[in-house]
Amino acid sequence: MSRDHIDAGLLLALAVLALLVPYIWSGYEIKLATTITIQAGLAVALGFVVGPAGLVSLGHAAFYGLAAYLFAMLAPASEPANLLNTLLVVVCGTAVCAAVVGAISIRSRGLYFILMTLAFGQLGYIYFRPEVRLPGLDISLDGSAQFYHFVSLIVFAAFALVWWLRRSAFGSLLVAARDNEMRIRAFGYSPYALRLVAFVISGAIAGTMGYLSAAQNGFVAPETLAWHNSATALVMVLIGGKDTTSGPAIGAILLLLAEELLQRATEHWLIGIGLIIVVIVIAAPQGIVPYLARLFPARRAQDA
Amino acid sequence: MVGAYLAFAVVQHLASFWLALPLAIVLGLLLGAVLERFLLARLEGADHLSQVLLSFGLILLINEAQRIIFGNDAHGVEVPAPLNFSIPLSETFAYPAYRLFICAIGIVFVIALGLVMGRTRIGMMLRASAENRTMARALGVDAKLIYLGVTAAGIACAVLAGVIAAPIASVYPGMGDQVLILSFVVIVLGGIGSLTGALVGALLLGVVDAFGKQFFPDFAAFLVYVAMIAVLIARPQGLFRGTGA
Repeated sequence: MSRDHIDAGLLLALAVLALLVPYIWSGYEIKLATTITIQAGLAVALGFVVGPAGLVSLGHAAFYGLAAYLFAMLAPASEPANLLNTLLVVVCGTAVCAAVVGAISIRSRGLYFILMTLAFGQLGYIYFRPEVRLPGLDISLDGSAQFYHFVSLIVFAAFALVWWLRRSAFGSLLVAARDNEMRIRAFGYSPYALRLVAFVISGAIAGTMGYLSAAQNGFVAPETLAWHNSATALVMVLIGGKDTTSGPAIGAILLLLAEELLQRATEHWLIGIGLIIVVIVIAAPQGIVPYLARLFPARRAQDA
Repeated sequence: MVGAYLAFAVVQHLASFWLALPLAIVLGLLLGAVLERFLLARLEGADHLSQVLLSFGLILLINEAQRIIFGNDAHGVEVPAPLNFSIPLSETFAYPAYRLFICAIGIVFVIALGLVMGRTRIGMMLRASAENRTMARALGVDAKLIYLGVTAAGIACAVLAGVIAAPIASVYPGMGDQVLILSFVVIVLGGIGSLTGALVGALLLGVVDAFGKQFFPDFAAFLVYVAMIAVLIARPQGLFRGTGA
């Protein structure tokens, strides 16, 4: 089995798991599963720019939070918001912002790019001050189980999109531009344009997740945009494996589940998280999913 | 942050601020050497990102360890007696001597580091292994030892800085996080690998922040980030392009 097979297999397994969750658990566990699913979506979106595009963004939480605030501005004060209209406008709005931020930031590379996205993210964090309460959506979702199905549907659609993009010619070009910029230029492509498109897609997906999270929680706080959240998402991407689609999702699930369980057990749960991160980095510097792929070596290694 | 807590612990138990300084250097060197030898060295050749991730995990560990040992409260450290006076600048305005002492240490440190990096054999080997590790190794530089030394010395400096900062900052869990992001911004803004750059970056951010707070209190937080973006738009590789990245 190659890394691609493992990757696709894990995605399918996650999808089956997501389908089953409401039948196994209820109440609080479903809310938790909803949160984790949304975070996994954000991590996968970030993974798409960190991995193939080689752009480490510390501003993705800002797109996520921006979408939540856009939703708050659009939504009528008293009645439930129209799902289709608001979602469409929010996603387009985030994409436009991602395009502006990306167009300026992508001129820089490496650490300088991180700093650019950090600065833009923090600007957003400072700009959106008050905490806002939100109305619900106008679709009739009976209870948390149905809302969970709705969230899973959108998140897994995003997973499928990212998985397809990574395998497409566009994905290959991104990887090629990351590994050998000069050669891609010589072939007549613009690495800048490729990266910008990837950044905008990723920002728009992050925005979608922010929208879902706002709809779930019923309020947005400015802290959503702060760089800490981008860093947390980045940790999820890296421990899961930035060069796979399922990796960031697995990283998100692992980290959030560990957080939940450790918090129940001890006040000093951060020590546990720290240990998990250190062990994973040392044992599997490429991330969990690539590590798994190596545990099951290719049966036809000589062909590969 | 470890440094600030060290200062707190030493002042509590040994009642001497000055004793904390040499202790900080020893502890920092030990900590750095252990980290490099057992953790960072394993990531040799791996992504920068893995190293970042590793240090992030370590931050969580150390933060929580401190919370367990010292509790959640904020602590204060007394300014050491010989420096606990103020220098009057005008009739209404005085400047605490301890802050001047910090400025002096900062200046001495920058000059010393500049001399070591630019004028000595060690500095030369260090720059060489940062720029081209394989070549430096081929020429007989023990790059492993250099990395060990740099990590240890770097952490010792940070611990020392924590001790010195303890009397003017309050000592609490998580106090390092703010400094961390600020240091990162300063280094990148100035240009990675450039000492002058780090210095200019630090001054620029400090001045923008201070004047912003004074003259445009509503926009001060904005100004710092706008300045960062402006600098990076004008010079996408930082103010002073350094050698190794």
